[in-house]
Amino acid sequence: MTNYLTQISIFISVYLLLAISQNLVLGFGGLFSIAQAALYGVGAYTAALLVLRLHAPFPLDLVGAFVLSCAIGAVLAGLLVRLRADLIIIATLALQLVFSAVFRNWNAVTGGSYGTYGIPRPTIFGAPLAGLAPFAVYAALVALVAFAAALAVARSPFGLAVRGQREDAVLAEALGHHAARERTLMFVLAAGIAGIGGAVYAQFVGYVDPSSFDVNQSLSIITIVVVGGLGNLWGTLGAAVILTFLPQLLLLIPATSNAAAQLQLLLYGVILVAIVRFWPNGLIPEQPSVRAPRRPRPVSVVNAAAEAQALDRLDAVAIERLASPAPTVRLENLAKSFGGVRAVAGVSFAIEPGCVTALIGPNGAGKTTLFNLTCGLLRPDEGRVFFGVRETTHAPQYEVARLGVTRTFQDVRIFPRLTALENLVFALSTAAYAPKGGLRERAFATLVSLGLDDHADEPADRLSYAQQKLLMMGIVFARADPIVFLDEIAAGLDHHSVHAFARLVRRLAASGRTVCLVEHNLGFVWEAADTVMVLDAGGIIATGPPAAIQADARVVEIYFGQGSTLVRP
Amino acid sequence: MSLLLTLALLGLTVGSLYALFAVSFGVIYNVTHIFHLAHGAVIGTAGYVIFFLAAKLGWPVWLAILAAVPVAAALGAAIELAFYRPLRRRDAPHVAFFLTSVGILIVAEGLFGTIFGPGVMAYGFLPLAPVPLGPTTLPNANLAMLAAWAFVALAVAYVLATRTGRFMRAVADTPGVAATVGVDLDRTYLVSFLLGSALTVPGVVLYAWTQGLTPLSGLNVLLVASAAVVIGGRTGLLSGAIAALGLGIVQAVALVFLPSGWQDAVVFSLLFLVIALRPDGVFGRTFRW
Amino acid sequence: MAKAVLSSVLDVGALHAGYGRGKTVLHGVDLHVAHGELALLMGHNGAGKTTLLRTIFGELRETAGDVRFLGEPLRGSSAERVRRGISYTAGGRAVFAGLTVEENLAIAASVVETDARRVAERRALVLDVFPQLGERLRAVAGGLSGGQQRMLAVSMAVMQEPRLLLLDEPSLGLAPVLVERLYRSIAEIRRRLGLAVLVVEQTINPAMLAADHVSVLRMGVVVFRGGEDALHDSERLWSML
Repeated sequence: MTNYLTQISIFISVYLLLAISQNLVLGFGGLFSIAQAALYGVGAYTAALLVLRLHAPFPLDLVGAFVLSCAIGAVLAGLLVRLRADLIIIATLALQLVFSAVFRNWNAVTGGSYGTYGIPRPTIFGAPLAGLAPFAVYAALVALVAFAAALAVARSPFGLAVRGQREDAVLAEALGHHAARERTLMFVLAAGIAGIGGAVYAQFVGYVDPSSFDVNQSLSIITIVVVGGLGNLWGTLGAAVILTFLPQLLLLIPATSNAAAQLQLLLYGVILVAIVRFWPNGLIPEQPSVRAPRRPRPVSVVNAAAEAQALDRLDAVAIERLASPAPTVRLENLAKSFGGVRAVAGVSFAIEPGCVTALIGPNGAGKTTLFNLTCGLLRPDEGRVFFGVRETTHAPQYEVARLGVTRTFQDVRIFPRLTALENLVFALSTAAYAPKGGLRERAFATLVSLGLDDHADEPADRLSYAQQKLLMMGIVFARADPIVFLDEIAAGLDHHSVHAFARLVRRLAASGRTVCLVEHNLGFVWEAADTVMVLDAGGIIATGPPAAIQADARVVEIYFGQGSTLVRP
Repeated sequence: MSLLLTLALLGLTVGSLYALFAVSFGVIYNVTHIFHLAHGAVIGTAGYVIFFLAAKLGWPVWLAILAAVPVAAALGAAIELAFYRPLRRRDAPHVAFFLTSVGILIVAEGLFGTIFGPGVMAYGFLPLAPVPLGPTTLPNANLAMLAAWAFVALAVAYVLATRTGRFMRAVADTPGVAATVGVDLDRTYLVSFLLGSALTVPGVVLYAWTQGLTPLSGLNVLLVASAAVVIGGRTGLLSGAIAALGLGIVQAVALVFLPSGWQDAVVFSLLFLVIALRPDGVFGRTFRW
Repeated sequence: MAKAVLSSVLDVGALHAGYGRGKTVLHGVDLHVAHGELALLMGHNGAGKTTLLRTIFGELRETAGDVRFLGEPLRGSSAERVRRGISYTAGGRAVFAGLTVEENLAIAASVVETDARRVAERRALVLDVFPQLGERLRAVAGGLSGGQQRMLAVSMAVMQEPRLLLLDEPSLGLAPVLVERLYRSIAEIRRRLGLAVLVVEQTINPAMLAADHVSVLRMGVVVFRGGEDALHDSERLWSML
């Protein structure tokens, strides 16, 4: 009986390694890969071949398996990372099937369908791990080291960065993170861990054959991760234990032992369907990687008065004066077309520090396109962009952000499943101008100043609309960047809030910063802006202070057509 | 040279069969945009129901086949109603659909294996004994090919000529516009599942006739069929059908250059290449039906 | 058409609607469109124009207030409202890009009508008003120019024999001369079919002066209502936005 349990524990260790790998890729990275079994197989065959053909001593077989799996993982990630999300599933399915076919047919290397036999147990410090118990300890140690490493990664800034790009890759890049690279790194790490799982498996069982590394195996691994909860490593641990045990229990029932493999499939399928149907977040939800330094107070009911109070806090938030003036943002002859339509047609202007510049114009005039061109989300067809003396025409978003630019998006755009605190820590981790000091402390201080500290550990999507808007402004404050681009910040606000935001924007400019707005809410623009630029059909038709623009006949024309009855004052 | 020709003809026959499965999968995938792997469960169910009725209960073959049609259609509809529709109501991410589909597929695999065992079940009850598709049996192969394309034509005709078929094409094109125009999305999805699932019956009959049936047959067939739909491009049913034909030929002709067993690698490498380089499929939007 | 003349086709009363969790966009909108009227509603992005139309069309559920159509409270899904006689043309992508012009029109019609003769009559009318579509029946809709696609979208709505036509920024992205042409066609359709039209726009083109009345929507409330003379008083409207 003990032998039996010991054997199961070894399989638990192997499955834990595989499940950790899958969770890192899927739960943290957001990459739906069905190819972990292929990487598992790569690790297993590599270890087997290193030992059998090259007589590699321990730990070279383990290391070799890790390295080759990482390498292949890097190649796959390079191929996958730019694909559309819905296609990644099918693409990894295709990869898995290709690998299975290679395992089955590359007789010279893998032994084909019959596999590779006779893999000896590893010899550690001169002692071969012949017995069951010693190997179980070894396997458990390997699994626990990997588990600890995965936990460390999950809690690290890298882990937070990966989770952010999972939620919203564009937002992550706007906040200074190289999303594709982070995703790739996570995939490679996960591949390596799967490879180690394969090596341990090969060392234990003594032979490797293709049927252990097929698509059904990938699906079983996914089931474990889904049951434990995506993004939750402790859940993965529990699920790996339970789901490895469960099919073994079936073997104990005499009548079912013949159909054991079939019943295991059946069981996994039922569990998977049930979990997705009834507990879509897995049995345990994702845990934040950074927590507030103190317990939250009981949260009072959110009502209009409380929200109004929160907005008034905007007046009290400290905005430090810049030591040296912010750079001027200069656009020269920017042009961009989309499929024959000229969205931006030869626009040139300068956004000066110390004042608020607002871009207005009807829908389709090109305002947001201009923003996107300036901040690196789009590449211009013609023209150049300068931040001070530094040219950024072809720089991607994350490079521009790291120069000291904070850019918000239309409406509310935050990382929904990261907590309020995590959202801020994420944004701060690439802030070039934020004062030194712990990221967490600074993030929490910002939340306190906005009155959101009691919600610090709540997922951001549970905050109210107004609170989410405040959180977005929190990112602006905390990063303290010299250049701030606000896209339709006043959308959906009532009168009271509009005044509060207008005061805020003016204070930002007064601190020496370069502030640029895109706005539809003209009332907000008249109140907040120093300079107004009017865009129509991709070009600037008027520039000047609000009073002049309000009275400008050309501007009225684009809103009301020619031949209007307006008389110039 | 004659080997190449023989293999190409063999590929045509096998490819025609894949084409029928591609259309049955495509009817669902094009309209609902769900990568309905559980279609393999429907294929398997149809196959085993026919086997059970004809071989175990001794029903006349034509009756067994006919009875399988409502069973398959009902199963497909049940999956949509019990699983996919509630997920849609909750705005679930597409990952959830995929996981559910996968779960249902492996439940089915497990059930088939438990009830019928993992071995190959031959369709011995069909008039001609199962024969490998070699040059000497070309006449039978021709029949199978014609039958497959006849059903493909039926499906395309339905989608072109009927009012519901028109709605299906509308939803496949742009679901948002279809909703604005007042098309009942739920009902259209349901019809897609009914039609696509019913079409698995002629497919599985032709397949099991020559290959026999195993618990993994559904998955194996489905993988090629879905690969064909993605490779062809999901704008029209014919894209998937022609891509499937192409895959069948490529697979067969590959035997000249590669040892058998590598065909899978070829097919799925092609699939990966297409996804990476031409995500809208080889035919893009050329075929509109 | 020997029915009693109804005073209003559309009555919106104290309507509140939004996108959940404190994001209320409409804060009590009152609006009326009478039989055969062309009503123009102006406002910026964020003012709530699209939210209002979507609520009337049934894509969004109102949180307070009511919407009445032909005197009856409006309930049910948007598909049901189409069958009741409300058609909606959204801004942006509003046609089936992969299907032909002919097929687009046929699909729109077949949602409400199966009688081939009536469909043919309606189609003839639509093609008479938009001859450019008639010249391109077999063309794939995605290949049409922006203006032509807009015409097709409006035509699709008209094919559904609506009593009320909701048009969401039909002038978006079109050159002024095309906007003028489009509005003249809309006016003609209204004249020939006697249907009521509610148009929302962000900017006014002189061709829109055919409207019967104009309202201005700002931050979720109607802040101004005026008749024909108001339409010509751009300065006043401008100050409202």
